[in-house]
Amino acid sequence: MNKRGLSAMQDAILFVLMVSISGAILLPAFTHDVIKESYVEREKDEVAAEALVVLLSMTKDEFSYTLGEEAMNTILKDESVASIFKGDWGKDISKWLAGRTQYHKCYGELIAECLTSQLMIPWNGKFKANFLTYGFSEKLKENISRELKIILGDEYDFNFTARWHPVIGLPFGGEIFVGHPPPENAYVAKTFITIPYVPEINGQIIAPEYLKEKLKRSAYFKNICDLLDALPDREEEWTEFENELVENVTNLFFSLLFNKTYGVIKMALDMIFKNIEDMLKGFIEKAERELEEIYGGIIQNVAHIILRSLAEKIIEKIFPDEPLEENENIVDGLMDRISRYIEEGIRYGLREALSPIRELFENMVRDFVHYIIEMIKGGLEKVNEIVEKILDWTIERIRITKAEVRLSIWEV
Amino acid sequence: MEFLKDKRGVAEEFTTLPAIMVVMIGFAIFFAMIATVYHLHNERMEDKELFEVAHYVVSKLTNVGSPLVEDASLIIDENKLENVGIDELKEYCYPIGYDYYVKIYEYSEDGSKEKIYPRNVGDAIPDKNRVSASRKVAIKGEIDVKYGELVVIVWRIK
Repeated sequence: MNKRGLSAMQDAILFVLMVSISGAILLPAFTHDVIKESYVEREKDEVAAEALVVLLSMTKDEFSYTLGEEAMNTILKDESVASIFKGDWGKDISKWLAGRTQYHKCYGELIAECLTSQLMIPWNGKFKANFLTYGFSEKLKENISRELKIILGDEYDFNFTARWHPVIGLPFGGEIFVGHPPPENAYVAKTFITIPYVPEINGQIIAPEYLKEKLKRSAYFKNICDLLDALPDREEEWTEFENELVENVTNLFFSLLFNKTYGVIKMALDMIFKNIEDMLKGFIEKAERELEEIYGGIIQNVAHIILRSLAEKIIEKIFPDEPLEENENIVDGLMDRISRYIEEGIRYGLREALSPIRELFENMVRDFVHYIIEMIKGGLEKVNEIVEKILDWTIERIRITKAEVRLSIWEV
Repeated sequence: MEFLKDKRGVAEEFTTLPAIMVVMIGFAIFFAMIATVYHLHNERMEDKELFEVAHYVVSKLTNVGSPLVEDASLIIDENKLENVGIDELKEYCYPIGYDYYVKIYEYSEDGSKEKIYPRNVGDAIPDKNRVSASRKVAIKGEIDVKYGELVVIVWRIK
């Protein structure tokens, strides 16, 4: 056999093999369109942000819920309540008397209102103390879910979360969750909404500069200034200096939370109570108006008598030890009892929640103080600049006028 | 000089022809592949340009400054839709070498969809080589703000 005769064929086969390899290398160029895929991916990334902005801007023609729906239903089921008020007719009456309809409000406003009326406190896990607005939260969740299904279509599933925590890290304020828990590969959009902003609550102004001025009058602030005026000379004294600074900055922050006049917790509670009081007043006025429309010309006081007896019944059920006094105003009486009930809850709830939070916060303060000490040792900052830095850092832990809203979407 | 007498060398002529044929086929396949990839690449680059233009137009039309938007990005003013024609939009945003068409849909609370822009005008869109981009928008009416969608279809001017 002459093997030379085969050499040309061997070259040809080698050549064909090379062509096949280059074909395999070029194959992704045939099958995958990277440019198109990256554009589609970019569009999907933007869908979450667009959907969130659109949802918050959208208005609801009529948003209706019943104030204290759950409590009302429980009361109407009680044996002492006349049988005429039971069943569907009772439900209709509670809707008619305590039903509240808001017209053309955008979802951003409704979410902000709901968050500030929940009064979620850290008690036995998380506890929403305002039982009157439970129906409000549930109706709002239903509506958000329906709107998001229309906006996102069948292609995506979603998780919507809104949180108002006036003090960062403290589970106090309000929360709304709609949808399923998001997977790891979800597209996420986040924004902030302004909480019904009132620049002044019971004479206290919610402005960083104002709070800063208040903090400057605190005894802890004076201690911080004294510490910074007498910086240690020896290396071993720095540890003691750091510990004292950590303690005073932590106390300064806690005074910002719990001060009886300008404390953030108090301001947040005042804001929430005002919200609840407005709702109750609206409910009483509406109920009186509705009843007077029926009884008006015939028996003028009947409307008030019916309403009062209903309010007495509600108070008797919720606060059995404190029935409504004969001459006591309905709104004031109810608000007084709710305030005391909630304050008690907050006292217990915050006590439970504060010790781990204090520990967590002290660690944050220690990191910050460590950074400050490095700055001092390096001679990079003057003492008055450091004092301002400590005040700014403390104020930044507070977010009373903003709520975080987050939308996660993923392909079904 | 024994190999000169070796007549088996003639056989080499007969193996070269099939080998050349295999090589020619290989070359043909290789060049066809290169040409196809080059053509695909060109097409995709053109599509990419169209995607970019469509994205640019849709962003420009839904951001502050657009004749359709009043207060904030992604919020279309429904009152303006009646007075703003496609030509006016093209005066505001005109990517050189490209033409485009805009459609706006509004969704009602029950999820039904209605085209609200342009009304009563036929679609003058070529059948081939076009790319569309869309954005979810809020449409602000007299009292309500509803969910809507702005769709831009872009094609190259020949």
